[in-house]
Amino acid sequence: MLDWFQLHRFIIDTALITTLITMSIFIAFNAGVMSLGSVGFMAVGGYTTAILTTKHGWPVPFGIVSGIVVGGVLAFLFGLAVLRLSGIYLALGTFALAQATIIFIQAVDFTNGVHGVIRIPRRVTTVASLGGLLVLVVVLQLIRKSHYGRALRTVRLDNVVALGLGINARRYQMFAFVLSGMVASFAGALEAHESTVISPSQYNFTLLTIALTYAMVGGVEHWAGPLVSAGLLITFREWTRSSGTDKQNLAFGILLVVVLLVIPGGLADKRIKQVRTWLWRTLSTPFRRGPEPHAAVPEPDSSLV
Amino acid sequence: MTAIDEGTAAAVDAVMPLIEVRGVEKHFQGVAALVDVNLDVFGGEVLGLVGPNGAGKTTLVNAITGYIPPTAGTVHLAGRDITGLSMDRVARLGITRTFQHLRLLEQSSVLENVLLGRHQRFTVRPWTMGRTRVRQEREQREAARALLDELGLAALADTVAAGLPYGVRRRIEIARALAAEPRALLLDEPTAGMTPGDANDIGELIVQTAGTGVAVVLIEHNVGLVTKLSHRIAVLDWGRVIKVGDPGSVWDDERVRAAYIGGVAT
Repeated sequence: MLDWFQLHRFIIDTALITTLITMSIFIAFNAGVMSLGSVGFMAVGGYTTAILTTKHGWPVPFGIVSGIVVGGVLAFLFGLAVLRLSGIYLALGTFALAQATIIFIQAVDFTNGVHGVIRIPRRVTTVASLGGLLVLVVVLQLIRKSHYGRALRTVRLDNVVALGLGINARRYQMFAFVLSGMVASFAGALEAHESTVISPSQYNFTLLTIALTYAMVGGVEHWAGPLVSAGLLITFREWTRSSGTDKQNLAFGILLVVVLLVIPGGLADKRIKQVRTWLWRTLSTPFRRGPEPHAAVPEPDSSLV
Repeated sequence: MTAIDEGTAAAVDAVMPLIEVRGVEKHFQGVAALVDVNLDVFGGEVLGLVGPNGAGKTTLVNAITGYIPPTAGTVHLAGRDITGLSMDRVARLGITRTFQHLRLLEQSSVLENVLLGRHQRFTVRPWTMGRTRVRQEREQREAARALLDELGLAALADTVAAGLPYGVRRRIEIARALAAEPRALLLDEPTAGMTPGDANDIGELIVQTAGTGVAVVLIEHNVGLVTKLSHRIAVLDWGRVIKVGDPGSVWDDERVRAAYIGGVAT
């Protein structure tokens, strides 16, 4: 077991980081913010901790926390500008600001420009990434089960209804956007300490597309969606690695088209829910006693929602 | 019911109107949707807002609720200037509305929809843990259920809204607005497309609501129903209030008849 883990450690760590970026996209999508800025925030998180730990000798944990804070502050400032927009304009706005951030990193001296930062201390363990992901999931579940979750959902589904009931939609979207930026920065910081070398060119469109695919397959309804989809698709990717990038990308493209056509809501789509309900009913029939299912009134369990 | 009966009259605050609309205008690129609208709405009354299609009824509701800012004029709520405030702030100050086209969260349960109306009653933060959090969620769910019970919707609390009949869904939308415990409720054609039976049920609910002291503005095309339910009726035509009066006499006015029949107003 331990041997297997040692052998696959790098893959697992990278997978966890990609999952975090997927979650960052999900968090924004969940509040109806079509954000394409996560890769930019990832760069901010990565560069903050890289510079602080290599040039100023900060301990790694402080570097990572600073990365998260800087990412959050930047997301807030960007949010002030772009959250006035909606739909495709909002998506383009976030994308433009993220690209501008990466170009800024390339252009200035203190980041070493296009050369990137090397010899970043490698201190991040799998436990740290996994712990971060767990904390995030707990936070998301707490939000989901509170009136904040209901409000975020309403802001996404019908902004006007939310406003009409006194929900400050802009504030909720800002909250989600900042959280999304912080999570992406965290992922970027972890990645910097994992690979020990970063350069502006690694925060590219391909990375964004991959994370976006995971997020869209996962759906916007529940945090478990992107988690499951990232898990499955990363495994699929690793499995098919030997077949070459071309075939892999082709497979991903086909998958994305199929998902958009068959289950536009991703794993949270109601068709998936119907299949799940049907499977559960069919599989559990032999074990069920008493009257037929439709005769029994199901116990309402709203606390699970 | 042409005159305000005694029970309701007591609830009407005769001294000061709850909503004061003064000189409100709204222009859409040169098209005047509202022209110098002056209107008072009192707590505890049902004010019928009628007029031909395109008269500006919905625009007036939009201007009061902050959905669109008026081009000119002021709106006061209980003496406080709310002109140009954002829609959510106006809602938090106590004006809730329903929409001409139903806007429910279709995939959510009836209870979830109504709970949304109680959003402002929650004080816990996402990180609040333990009993306070659980208790508050339970209290608000109970309050929402109690409201559903009052409106005869208790049995449907855990049903998904999408599959329910139209009349019931309209009722849920009103329930959601009432859950916010508003001081003023603006209903945009709440009985449109309903059977007469369902429409009467909604009518009863509207009268009951006004009976608790809420100011109700009712946009309604059904002349019989709006005459029956309203304490006063305001008639809009081409963005102007052409008549405000009691439901018995308002239809006798020449200009009102002209507006409806399509003659030239004098």
